[in-house]
Amino acid sequence: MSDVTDLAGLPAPWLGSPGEHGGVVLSSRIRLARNLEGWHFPRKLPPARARTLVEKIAEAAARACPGRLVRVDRLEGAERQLLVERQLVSRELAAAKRACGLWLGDDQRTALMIGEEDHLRLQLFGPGLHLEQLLTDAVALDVRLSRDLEWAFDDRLGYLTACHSNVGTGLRASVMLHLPALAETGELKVVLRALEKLHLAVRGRFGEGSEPHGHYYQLSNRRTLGMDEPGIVALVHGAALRVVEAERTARESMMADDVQRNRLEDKVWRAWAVLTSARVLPSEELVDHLAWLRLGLALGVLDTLSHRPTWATLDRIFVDCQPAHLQAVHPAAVDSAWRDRLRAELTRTWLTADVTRN
Amino acid sequence: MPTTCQRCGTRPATIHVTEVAAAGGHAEAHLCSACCQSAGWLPAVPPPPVAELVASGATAAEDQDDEAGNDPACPTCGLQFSDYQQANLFGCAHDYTRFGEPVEDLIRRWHGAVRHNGRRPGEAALDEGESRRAALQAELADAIAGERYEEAARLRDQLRLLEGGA
Repeated sequence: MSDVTDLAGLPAPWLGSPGEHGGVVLSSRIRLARNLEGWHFPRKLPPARARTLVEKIAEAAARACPGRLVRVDRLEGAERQLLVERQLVSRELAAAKRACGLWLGDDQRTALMIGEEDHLRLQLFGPGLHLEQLLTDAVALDVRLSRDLEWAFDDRLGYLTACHSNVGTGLRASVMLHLPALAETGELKVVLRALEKLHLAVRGRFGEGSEPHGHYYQLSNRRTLGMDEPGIVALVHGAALRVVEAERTARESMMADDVQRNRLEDKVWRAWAVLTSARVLPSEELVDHLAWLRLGLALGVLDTLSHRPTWATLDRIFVDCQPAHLQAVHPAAVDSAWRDRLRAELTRTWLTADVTRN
Repeated sequence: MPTTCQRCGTRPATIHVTEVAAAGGHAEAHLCSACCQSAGWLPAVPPPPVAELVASGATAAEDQDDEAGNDPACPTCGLQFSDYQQANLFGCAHDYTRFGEPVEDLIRRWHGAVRHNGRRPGEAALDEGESRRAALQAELADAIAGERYEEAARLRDQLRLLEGGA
């Protein structure tokens, strides 16, 4: 067993359904981008220098945050994918060929990406909408790291980053939201336009360019310069609350209209039927159906089941049935057809186990 | 016209869409091809001719290039400005000053600002007052958006008190 496959089977610390706000908010993340003074940015680092970078930041991290170093560039493809699925590293870091790493905090909610686009991407995760606390903790960790590491900083432009879109605070505050009702009613476009005016970005679950399967979206600030860190967090927090309110209103209006409610209930029950019966279940199909079960659970649609599934079970299926997670626990699941059958079997088993247990 | 995709925020905006509503009016979107195809929120359209993709930042850089006789390179990391325009990634911190006005222009257009107002190295960790201020600002924004003006006034007073006492 490698040093990352043991993560599979553990609960994802950033996922805590139903969380607050009726299950609309899944998690929050704070990210600070930092680069070492006097060093080329990662894309221009010679290989030997890139290795030294990983070691240097890992040494500082060991003093600032108990945890362990994962050399991402030495992992197999499936192991890298496992880290992406747990949202500990970006797809860019997972694909990197140069020396790069992940410092994984023992608390399982601190993940330092080393040698991605910037030298360091300091990330903290948590369930629910708690950006302020995450920011306080992230800044405290940054302060501890900067006892050993001197960051590239300009008096006028702030922290200097590899891309101009991160310069200044280097702060990205993100909230993962589940917005099926807004998507279903077509109101999501209106919400997205409003967010764009506030210079906020909405992306798929795995960041830029990723598909919003299951209507999971990441809301985050686009601008990192001009405002201070608490101001950016306040902007994203406030916008997230507004989106939550819009989603809840859309859910209520769907439930108040006979035709729409019938359509919604049909989707929820079809999802239930597929997930408790299917023998072959591709990953994307699972995510889509699971999203309807989440909505059904939140709105009480599944209350007529004598034994309805728990949020914890839906979370477990959501995380553990991802391709690399399946492969980590079941090494024989190397081809997708095998995994699709295994996914269907585990989903049926876990949903049925809920029924039996309750 | 934005040079960077409005959706992913990193890749160059190579597709410029104008949506004309049936009821009149129009909306513009500037996207990269990947986002345009993957989103499903916006119609996929074929990329426009290359000539239409030249943005003001690129023009400014080319003017600078003409003066230098070629594409200027950073003496520290060797990065050429045209390389940055392709990948949106600098090679080192010196590039910010080396490439001068085009970079300043990119920053201004992206952030709407060119001056950092956040933390600086060596500053102490955020205290409870700062966290409280962030929370109050969020509540204030929410109250204003929800047109709950009495609550907004109360929150503003609390913020003033906190900032005055800080």
